[in-house]
Amino acid sequence: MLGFLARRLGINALLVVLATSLAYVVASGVMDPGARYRLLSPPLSPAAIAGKLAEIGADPREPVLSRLVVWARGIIFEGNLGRGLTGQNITQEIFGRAGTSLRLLVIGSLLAAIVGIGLGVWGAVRQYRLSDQVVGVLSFVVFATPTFVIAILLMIAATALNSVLGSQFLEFTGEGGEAGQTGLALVGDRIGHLVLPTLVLVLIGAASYSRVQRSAMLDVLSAEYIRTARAKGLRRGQAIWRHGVRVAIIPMSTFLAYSLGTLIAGSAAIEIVFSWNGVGRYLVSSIGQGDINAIAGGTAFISVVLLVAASLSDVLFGLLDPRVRGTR
Amino acid sequence: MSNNEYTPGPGHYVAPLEETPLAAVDAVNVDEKPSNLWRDAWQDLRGRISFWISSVLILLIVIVAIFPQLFSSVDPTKCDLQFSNQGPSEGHILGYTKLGCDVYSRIIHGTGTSVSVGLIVTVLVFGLGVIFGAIAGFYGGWVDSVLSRVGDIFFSIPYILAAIVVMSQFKAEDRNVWVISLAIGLFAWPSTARVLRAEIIRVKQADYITSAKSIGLSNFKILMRHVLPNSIAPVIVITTLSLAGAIVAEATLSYLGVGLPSTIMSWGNDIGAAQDNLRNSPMTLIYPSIALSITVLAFIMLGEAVRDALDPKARARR
Repeated sequence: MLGFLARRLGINALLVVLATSLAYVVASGVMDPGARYRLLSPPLSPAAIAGKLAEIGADPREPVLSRLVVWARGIIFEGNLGRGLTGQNITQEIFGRAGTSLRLLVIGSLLAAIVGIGLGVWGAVRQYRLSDQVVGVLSFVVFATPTFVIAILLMIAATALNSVLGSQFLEFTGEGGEAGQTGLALVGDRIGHLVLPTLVLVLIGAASYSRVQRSAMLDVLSAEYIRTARAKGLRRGQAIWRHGVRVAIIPMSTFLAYSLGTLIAGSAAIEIVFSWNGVGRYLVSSIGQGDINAIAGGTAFISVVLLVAASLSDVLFGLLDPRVRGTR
Repeated sequence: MSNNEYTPGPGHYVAPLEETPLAAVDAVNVDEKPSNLWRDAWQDLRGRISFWISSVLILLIVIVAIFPQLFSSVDPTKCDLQFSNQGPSEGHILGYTKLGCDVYSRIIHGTGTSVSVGLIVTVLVFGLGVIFGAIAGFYGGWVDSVLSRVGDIFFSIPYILAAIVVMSQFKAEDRNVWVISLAIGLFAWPSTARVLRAEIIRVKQADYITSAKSIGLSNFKILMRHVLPNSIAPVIVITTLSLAGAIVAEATLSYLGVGLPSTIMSWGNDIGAAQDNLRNSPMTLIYPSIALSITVLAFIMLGEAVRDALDPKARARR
């Protein structure tokens, strides 16, 4: 088991390094960080622009790979993700926003997994009944709607609800308001602002999880060991719970990790719609500005989140499925 | 029961073949075509309502995409600010946008963009996914390791973000349907490759592959004649889903401002333009979203129906 985990961790860590380097190389290859200086009037000389860019390690006269090595050294030896176009410290920028993004992402994806698995199992047990069909159609509708549209529609609904109630019952702009700055009031305020964004994330996550869980559960329900379990005297609920769900949840543990990328992209859209100052929104805006270090730094953050999730799902996979521990 | 009555003896009687009902059961109808996965699937599909609803919808959407003039006589580019944000009126059933353009006509003329982006991306994803997945799954070994890791790297970067990087390199006027499809398709293929690889590894161990090898077929022939046709079914399902995903991705990119320029009519652009205007006329945002959702939903429904039809286990459950 430990060997299996160490191996998986090694592969995942290698993937983070490769994905981040790829982001750095691609961004350096296609982006023009000097564009902002070229618009100045009177124009700067190319040498002056290059010198300005060299300060942040984006000197276009240096080959991309040597720039990458310098940048990577900064991370390894100083834990420093480099400087952005305007000289800002990217490590601080990203870590300052990490809490905001992770608050949304962790709560959202955990709730999505719980709701999705629950709905999937429930749908499989009640296959082709009305409730199963309704859940199925609803999850397809969520699938078919872009995340930002869901977010905007929920905002419209919340505005309508607020005006009916005549008070700011649902807060949805930004991550916190004036309601509370300290103690319990602060926590309450934060939770209030979390409701709508989290709801969006739970909707898009649960829509796909419930379909995957449902089909995994259907495969298991028709298996013979469920019939055996019933034959030896277990009640239907017990048989489904002990022998069905525990088996059907195994493929979900890997699917959860792989689908987290979709949720991260979704949470970037959510951050933009709800004006949250998170890493996703920062990444999108730095792409707009051609800020290479910030893009690579943001990608590194996302890859690390994915790495942690993938490793956790490997642990879960190993715990759930005894066959995995022995092989590979 | 009959066993008890059976008494062995010299007058043991065997019914002539014509008299036993077994003859009819055992008879081989030589003229009948042999059944296979695809024929069975088609038999099953024909009986599904969701298949017919989605097919008719898709057909309709494609007709709208090719001949938008048939469905709307209003010029979508003729906008008049005096009608800004006005509600529905005669001849303009869905009202006007902020710039005074006809909402309904813009939706009809935007269909072509979404459908073509979806189709081009699907062809790209299918092609790249099948090539990489087939090579990785069939040849295995270090080729598989390298290709799978390459796929994993692409997989670990959310493809919307990757497409944003690519798209932001083009000036607004250089962006067109081809560019955006390429940006989406280049990063969306790993999931197709992964599905095909897993399926090929499963099929490769089948006895008929061993026998094909034993009669001396070349590796390439085995791959093309036996392995691919038997493992392509799940790829077709995921391809219909990726078509739906591509349409959503185009809308998202256009909404973020790195998609198609506003001169090209697309639902994503319309939704993005309507967002600034949300408080005054939310419906200009909701209508194109509905059009988008219906289109995507049609493809997802088709994919689900085909998936169930191609899966013998799911067929047995019905």
